[in-house]
Amino acid sequence: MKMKKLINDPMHVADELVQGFVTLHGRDLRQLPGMNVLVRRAMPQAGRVGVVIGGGSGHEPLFLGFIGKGFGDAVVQGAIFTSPGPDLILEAVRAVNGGAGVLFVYGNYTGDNMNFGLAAQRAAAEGISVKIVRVWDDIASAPRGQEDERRGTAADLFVIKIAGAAAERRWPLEEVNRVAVKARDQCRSLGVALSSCTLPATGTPIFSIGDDEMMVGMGLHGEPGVESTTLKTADETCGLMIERILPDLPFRPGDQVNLLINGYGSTTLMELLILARSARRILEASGLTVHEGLAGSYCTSQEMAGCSLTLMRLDDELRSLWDDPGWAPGFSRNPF
Amino acid sequence: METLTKGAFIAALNRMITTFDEQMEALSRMDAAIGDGDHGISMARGFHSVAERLRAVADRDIGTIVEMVGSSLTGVIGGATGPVFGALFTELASQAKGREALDVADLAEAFRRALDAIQAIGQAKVGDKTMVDALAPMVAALERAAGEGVGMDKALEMALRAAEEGRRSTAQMKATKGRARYLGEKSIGHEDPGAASFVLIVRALLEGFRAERNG
Repeated sequence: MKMKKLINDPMHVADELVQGFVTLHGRDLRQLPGMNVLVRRAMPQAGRVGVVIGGGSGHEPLFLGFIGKGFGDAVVQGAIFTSPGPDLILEAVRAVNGGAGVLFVYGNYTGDNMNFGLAAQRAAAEGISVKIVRVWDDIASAPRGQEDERRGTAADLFVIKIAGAAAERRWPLEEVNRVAVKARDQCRSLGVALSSCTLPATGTPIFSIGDDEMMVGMGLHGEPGVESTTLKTADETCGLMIERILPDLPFRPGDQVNLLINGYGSTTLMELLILARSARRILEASGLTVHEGLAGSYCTSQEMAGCSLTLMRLDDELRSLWDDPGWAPGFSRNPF
Repeated sequence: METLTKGAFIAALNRMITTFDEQMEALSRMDAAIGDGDHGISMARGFHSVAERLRAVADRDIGTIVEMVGSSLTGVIGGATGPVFGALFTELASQAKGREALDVADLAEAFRRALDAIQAIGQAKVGDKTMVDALAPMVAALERAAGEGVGMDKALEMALRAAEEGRRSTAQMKATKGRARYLGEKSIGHEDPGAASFVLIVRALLEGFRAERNG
C-alpha cells in the first residue's frame, strides 16, 4: 500500500521542509541563498568556535531542530536519508567561522563521513581548523569494541547540546572537541521498531514487520535489526532495551544519567510517557539516578513506529554543560 | 587513430542524463533490496543538475565539461554516491584538462586514477560489493586494450563487458561497506546498485562514441 503523505514534488521535500523551517524561525536564523544550509543570525562571533551539524533529511526535528543558542550554530540538510555534499558543508563552515575553528557533530554513516571529511579537508586548505565528532551510540549496529562502526542515532541531541554549551562558553576548539568526544563516549542507545518508514519518493515501506512482531535494533533508514520478537508491553520493552544498554558501557550503580525516550515518528507521546515511567523505575532499581529525562520524537524516521532509549552518563563537567541555558526549536527544557 | 572526441563525450553525457532518468525506478528497486531504496533517485537528481549546467560549458574542453559533471554529482547527490561518482568524473577531468580528444591509453590512465581516488575515499576493495567491483575490472580491461593497441570501439566494448561481469559478480558477494553491510549474509543474491550505475555510465560512453563516429 502506498503511504499517504502531504507533500508536493517528492524530489524537493528536503528543500521545502527547510524553507518551511525558515518561515517559522527566520528571526533567529538565515538560509544561505539557494542552499539547504541554515545559520544562526548571531554567527559568526570573533574568537568563538562554531558548531556545524547536519545529515540527511527525513529525521525531523533532527538535525535542523537542534540549531540554536547553546546548540548547533549552522545546520546542513541533505536529501531524504542522504548526507549533504561537501560544498554545502564548507559554506556552513565559512558562515560560522569566527577565527577559532569549527566543530562538526554528525551521525556515523558512510556518506556523512565522506562528505564531512571532504569538507574538513577543504576548510583546512583555507586555513580553518575543523575537528570532527562522529556520534555512534546505537549498540545494535556493531559489537562492543567496534564502537566506531556503530550508527549515530538519538544521542546526536546530547552531543550537540554539550558541544553547543562549550562553544557558548567560548572554550577553545580543542576543549569543545574534548567534551563533545567525552559526551559521545558516554552515550548508548537501543531501539525497537513496530513498523517501517517510507521514502517520500517511492511511497512504499522499506521493510515489513508482522502484525504481532517488533524488530530490535532497527536502523533509522530501514537497516535491519538484530532480532525479531513478539510485540511486548511498554514495561517489557523498556526492560529489554535497558538490560542490553547497561552492560555495554557499562553503566554501574551510582551512575547519574540523562535519559532520552525517543519516538521514531508515529509513536504517540502517550506511549513515550508510559515508557519513560518504566525506564525510570528500572534505572532506579538498578541503582542509577536520572538527572534529566526527555520523552519526545527527536530523531525520527518518517512514520516509523517504535522508540529508542538513550542514556548519557554524566560527570560534573558534562552535567554542568548540560544544565547551561540553551534554546533550539527542537528542544525545550522544562519551563517550571 | 580512433579517439573519444569532445562531441562523443557530450553525446555520452546526454545519454547518461536520459538513462538515469529512465532507470531511476529500476535502480531504486535494486537498492531497496539491500539499502534504503533511493540510489536511482540520487543518480537522477545528480544528472538533472548536469543537464542544467551542460549548455554553459559545452563549447569548452573535455576537462572543463567533465569537471562540471564531477562537481555537480558531488555537490548535488550527497550521501556516499555523490563523492564516489563525483570522484570518477573529477579524476577524468584532470586527465582531460585542455583536451579536445582522448585515446585509449588516456582513458585507461584516467580511469585508473579514478579507481585510486574512489578507493581512497571509500576504502572499498574488490569483493566488498560496491561499484569498485565493476570499476576495477573495467580499468584492467582498458589497460589491456591500451597494451594491445586496439581501437576505441573495441576498447570500450572490452571495458563494458568487464564492467558488466563485475556488476554480475557483486550478486554473490556479502556487503561490507555502507548501509548494505548491516544485512550481512542477506545481501547475497542481490547485485550492487552502484555497480549497476557504473555499467550504465560505461555503456553511455560506448554509445556516445558510436553515435559521434556514425554522425
